[in-house]
Amino acid sequence: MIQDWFPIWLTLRVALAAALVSATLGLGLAWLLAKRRFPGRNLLDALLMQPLVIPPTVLGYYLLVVFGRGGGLGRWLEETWGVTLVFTPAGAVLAATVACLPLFIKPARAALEGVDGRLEDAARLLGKGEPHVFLTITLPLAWRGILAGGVLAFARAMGDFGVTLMVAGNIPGRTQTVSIAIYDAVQSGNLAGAHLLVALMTGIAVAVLLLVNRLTAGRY
Amino acid sequence: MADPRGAPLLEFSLRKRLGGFSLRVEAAIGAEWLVLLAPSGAGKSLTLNLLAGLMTPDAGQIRLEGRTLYDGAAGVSVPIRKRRMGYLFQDYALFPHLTVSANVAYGVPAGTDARAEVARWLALLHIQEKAGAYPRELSGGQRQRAALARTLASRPRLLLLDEPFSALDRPIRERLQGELLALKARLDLPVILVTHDFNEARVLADRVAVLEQGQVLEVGEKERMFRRPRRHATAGFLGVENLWPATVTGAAPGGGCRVRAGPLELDVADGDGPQEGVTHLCCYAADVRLVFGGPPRPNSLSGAVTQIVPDQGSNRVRVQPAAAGAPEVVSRIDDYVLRSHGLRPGSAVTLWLPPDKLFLCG
Repeated sequence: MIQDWFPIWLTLRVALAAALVSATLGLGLAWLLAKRRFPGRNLLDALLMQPLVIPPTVLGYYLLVVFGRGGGLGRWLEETWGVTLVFTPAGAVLAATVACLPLFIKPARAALEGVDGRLEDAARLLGKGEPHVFLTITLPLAWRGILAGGVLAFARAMGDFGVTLMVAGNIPGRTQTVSIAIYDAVQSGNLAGAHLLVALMTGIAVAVLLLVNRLTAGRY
Repeated sequence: MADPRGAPLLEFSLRKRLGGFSLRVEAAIGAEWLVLLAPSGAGKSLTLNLLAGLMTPDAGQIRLEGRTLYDGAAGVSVPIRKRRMGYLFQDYALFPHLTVSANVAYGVPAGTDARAEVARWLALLHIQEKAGAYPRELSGGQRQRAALARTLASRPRLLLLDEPFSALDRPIRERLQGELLALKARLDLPVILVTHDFNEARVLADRVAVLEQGQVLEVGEKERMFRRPRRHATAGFLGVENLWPATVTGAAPGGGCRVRAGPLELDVADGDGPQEGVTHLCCYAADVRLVFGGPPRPNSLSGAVTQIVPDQGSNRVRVQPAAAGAPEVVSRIDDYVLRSHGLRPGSAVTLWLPPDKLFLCG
C-alpha cells in the first residue's frame, strides 16, 4: 500500500494550479498567435514552445536565475509580497506551469485558428465588439480544443520532473511530487512503493489521452 | 446617380492594390439596388469587403447617409461593428452552434423586442418552421433565408449581397429571386449585389455596373444598360449574343446609319451609337427573326443552321450566313417554331435583323 499520500495530493494540487494558470495565460497568448498579425509573432511562438525542446534542467536553471533570491524578480517578489518561490510548493507550480504552457497553447491555438474568420466577421458586421465576438462565437466554437489543451497541460504538469526538481527541490512532505517520489523510491530500493506510483501515473496518463481524443473528435 | 428624393445615400470611391491586381471603383446610389456584374476575379467581393471594413483600402472615401465611414486622406476608418452594413456572405456564415432563431436574434439592436423581430423576419423569409433548427440541418435555400433574416434583423443601413444565389439549385434560385424581388419594395435602403450572372441583374437591379479587372467598365440604369450598352465588353457581360466588329459606312435610306460587319451591310435605325472608328454591332438573339417567304427586305440574310442548343424552353440556333466571311448569327427560336418548320442543322433559313433592334457600341 501507499504509505505516504502526500506526494499524490501535492501533485494533484500543483498540476491543477499549473493547468489553470497556464490556461489563463495561454488563452490570451493562443488568441494572439491565432488571430493577430504583429511583428515578432514567430519569435513569440518559438519562445513559448521552448519548454518542449529545451532540457528541463536548463529551463529550471533559467527559472532559478530569474525567480531565485539572487534574481531581480525573485527578490522583488519576496520583498514586496513576501512570496518565496524557490524550494516551496509555489515554486513547484511555477515549474509545472512553464513546463505545461506550450501543451496548452498548441491545441488551443489550433482550435482558435479552426474557427472560420468569416463567422467572426459576420458577428462584427452584426454590430458586436471584440470581447462579445470572442465570448459568443470564437470560444463556443473552440472550447473542445481549449479544454483538450487544458487536460494535456494538466497531465504534463502532473508528470514534471526536471524543472520541478531544479526549482522546488526534493523536500519530502513539502515539495516532493509523485515523479520525484518515484525517483526517490527507486534510488532507495523501495521498488514496491515505486510500482504503485508508476501504475497510478500511467493510469492517469492513459485516461487523459482518451479524454483528449474524445474532446477533439467532436466537430460542428 | 442620385436618389430621386435627394442626395445619394451611399457614395464611395475605393482604390486597392493587391499584388498585381489593382481595384478602382466608385459609385453613388440611393435607396436602390446596384448590381455589380463581373466575371470572377474582377474585384467584386473585394469591393464589398472594402466597403464593410473587412479590408482596408489604399485610398478613397465611403459615405453612408452623410456619415463618413472611411476617408483615407483624413485617416478616418469606422470599425466594422459601427458601419451598420448588412453583409450576406456567399457561404452565408451562419453560426453553427446557434439555432436559426438565435442566429437571427444575434444582431437585433439593443432596445428592440428581439423575440418579435426574430418572428417577423423569419415569417417574412418563410423560414419560421425552422426556427429551432441548427444550420447543419438546413437546405441551401433555407440557409440563405436564415442568413438574410439575420442580416436584415440587424437593421442595416446598407445591404451587401455576395453572389447570393450561386450556391443554390436553379428552381430554388429562381424562387428566392422572386421573393427577394417582392421584399425589395419593403427594403428602403441601398443594396449592392455582386454576381457574374446577368440574369440576376435583369431581375433585381435598378442600376448595373460592369466590372472588369478591377475597373468599372460601364455603369447605368438597368433598362438603359440592357437596351443600349455603350461598350462591347459590357454588352458581352449583359448577355448580348451577337456582337460583331463593324464600321459605319454612311446614312441609311430610312434614317439611322448603314453599317458594315464583315461582308454584311446592315441598317441600324438608332444612329446614336459611336460613329467614329471601329465600333461593334450588337443584337440580342431574341431579336433575330426567322422569316419565311415574303418580299426581300433590308437586313435579311440567308444561311444555314449550324447548331441548335435547347435553352430554357427555347433554343439558341446558330446560323452561318451564305455570304463568305460573314459572322455567325445567333437566334433564339421557340420549340414550336423549330418543330413546325422541321429545322435542324443544315436547314436553309432566312433571318431578319430588325433595324430598330440593332445597336452600336464602342
